[in-house]
Amino acid sequence: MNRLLQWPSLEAPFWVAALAVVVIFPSDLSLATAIAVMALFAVSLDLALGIAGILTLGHALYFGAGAYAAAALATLGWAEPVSGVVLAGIAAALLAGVAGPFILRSRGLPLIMVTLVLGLFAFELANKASDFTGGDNGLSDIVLAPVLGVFHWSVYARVEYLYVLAFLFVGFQGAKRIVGSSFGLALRGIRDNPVRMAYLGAPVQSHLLRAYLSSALLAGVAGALSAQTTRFVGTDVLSINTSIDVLVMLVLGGTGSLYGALVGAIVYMLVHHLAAEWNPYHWMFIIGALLVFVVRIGEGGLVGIARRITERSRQTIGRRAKGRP
Amino acid sequence: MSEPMSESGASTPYALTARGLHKRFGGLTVADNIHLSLPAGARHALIGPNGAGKTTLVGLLTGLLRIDSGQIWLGSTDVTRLSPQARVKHGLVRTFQVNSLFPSLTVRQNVELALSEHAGTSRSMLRSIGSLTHLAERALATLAQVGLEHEAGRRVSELAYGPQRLLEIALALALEPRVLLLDEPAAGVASADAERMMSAIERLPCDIAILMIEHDMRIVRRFAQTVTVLVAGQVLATDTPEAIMTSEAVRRVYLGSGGQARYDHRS
Repeated sequence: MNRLLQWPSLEAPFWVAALAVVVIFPSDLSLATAIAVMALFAVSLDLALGIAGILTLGHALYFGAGAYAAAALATLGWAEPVSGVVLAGIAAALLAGVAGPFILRSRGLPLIMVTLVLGLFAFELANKASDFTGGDNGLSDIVLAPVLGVFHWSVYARVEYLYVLAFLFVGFQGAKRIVGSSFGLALRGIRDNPVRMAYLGAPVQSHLLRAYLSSALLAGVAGALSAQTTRFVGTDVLSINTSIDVLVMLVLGGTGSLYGALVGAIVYMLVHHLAAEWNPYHWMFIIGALLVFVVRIGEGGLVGIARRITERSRQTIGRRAKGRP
Repeated sequence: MSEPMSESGASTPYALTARGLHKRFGGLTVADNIHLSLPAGARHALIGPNGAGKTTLVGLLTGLLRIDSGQIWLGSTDVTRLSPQARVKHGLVRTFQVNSLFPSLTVRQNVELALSEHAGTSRSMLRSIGSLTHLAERALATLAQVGLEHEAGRRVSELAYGPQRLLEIALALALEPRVLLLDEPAAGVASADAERMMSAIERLPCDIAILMIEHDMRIVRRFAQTVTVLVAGQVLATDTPEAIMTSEAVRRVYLGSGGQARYDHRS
């Protein structure tokens, strides 16, 4: 019935596999860390776009806000990383609290344009405010205490990866919780038919704002994790490319299921990595071809395709079983 | 202004009172000094030719459109300045002439949406909807009221048109309205489903005041105790169905000189 509930059997193996990466690919943990960061960012976008239907093309705003907030905290001497991430997430949510009421007044194409313009504006602002952002050179003097005072950051990125994975796990469970609540159902109702929701007496704007704040919080956390694990923040965290990348990941994996965000981020980042080794200038062709293929095949992205295949094979097995004497 | 009282002068006010509603779109007057009052449990039909302002009136009553002047009361509450959402909270609920549902959700989830908004649980972000068992039970009970309980698990996008019309009514019922505005509930329903629709409407709780816009005079005669005829934004007459059907004035402007009641051509 609930689309989400068709995948729990695969979720536990997924997290186990994510942990096993530490043992199986010990030399690729920087890449794995970057993938986990983008997966959390994609989950945050799915909450706003896939679940609540907020068509935003400027979500890098909150990713960037989180990244700069984490970097600023570290440079100001707040070296404790976990609270740094939480504070950065709250900073991003506060920004969404200011921008949200303005942004959420529009829907559809005007909403896309408003978020796009706001994203471009923030990017230019970061470029100009080079005293704070370091301009083109970025911020690189990020000094952090060991995680929980015990686990020292390593060159092999093992602590980094497990640290991000823990945040991804908690963030994903939180998002799942929201989607599975009656608030989450109301969001899907607004996505389907906002006018009728108003005539059910729903406070549509306040529902949307709370979804947007939750999404910005997660995006800010992802941005902060990016800043902490790479020890660097450049203005590209706010660029329109960052917004587009995460959108492509989400569409590739499939919107509205949360699982699609995880799958999309992994596939996109791996293809990016492998194709860039093959040809650093034309890797986008591969992503483009993949995206066209997925969109042509039908709704739901890679997760949707996988679901349809399993359903069909289940039906075939069922028919065969019935056919037996 | 004082509270609107029912004719008997008793302290129970009408479920819905509209006084002197005016609305102009540019040079076109779409509501001209409309008075309407529905006691609790009313079965009131609103008829009139296309363009008479019937759906506009529903828009004015529900707050979708802002009136230029006049007053609207729900019970003893003046709701003239309230938003559509606030009017729903005061018990004024409408259905739509064109199905307005949530196509990607199941039939039961559609009703659960309405129930959880009504109960105020839609604000809780972290409690699983599965733990709200009374919600699922009440959704099924509401669906049973319109005979849709066997379709509960189906997606609305896979549902035939007739059952979708019934779901429109189930959504309204889930909000426990005091006043229900039905905008052509049988519009476009195949004759096989029309009887199902009518009996669902007849089984609606008798304490709800219902205002139904309808073209089909057979349905009006079967449903209504009172009929208001709207022509060019004005109330031409309000009377019993029998008196309306035999009224010379109504016949002239609306039913046609043949005197034979028919449904007019829908655009």
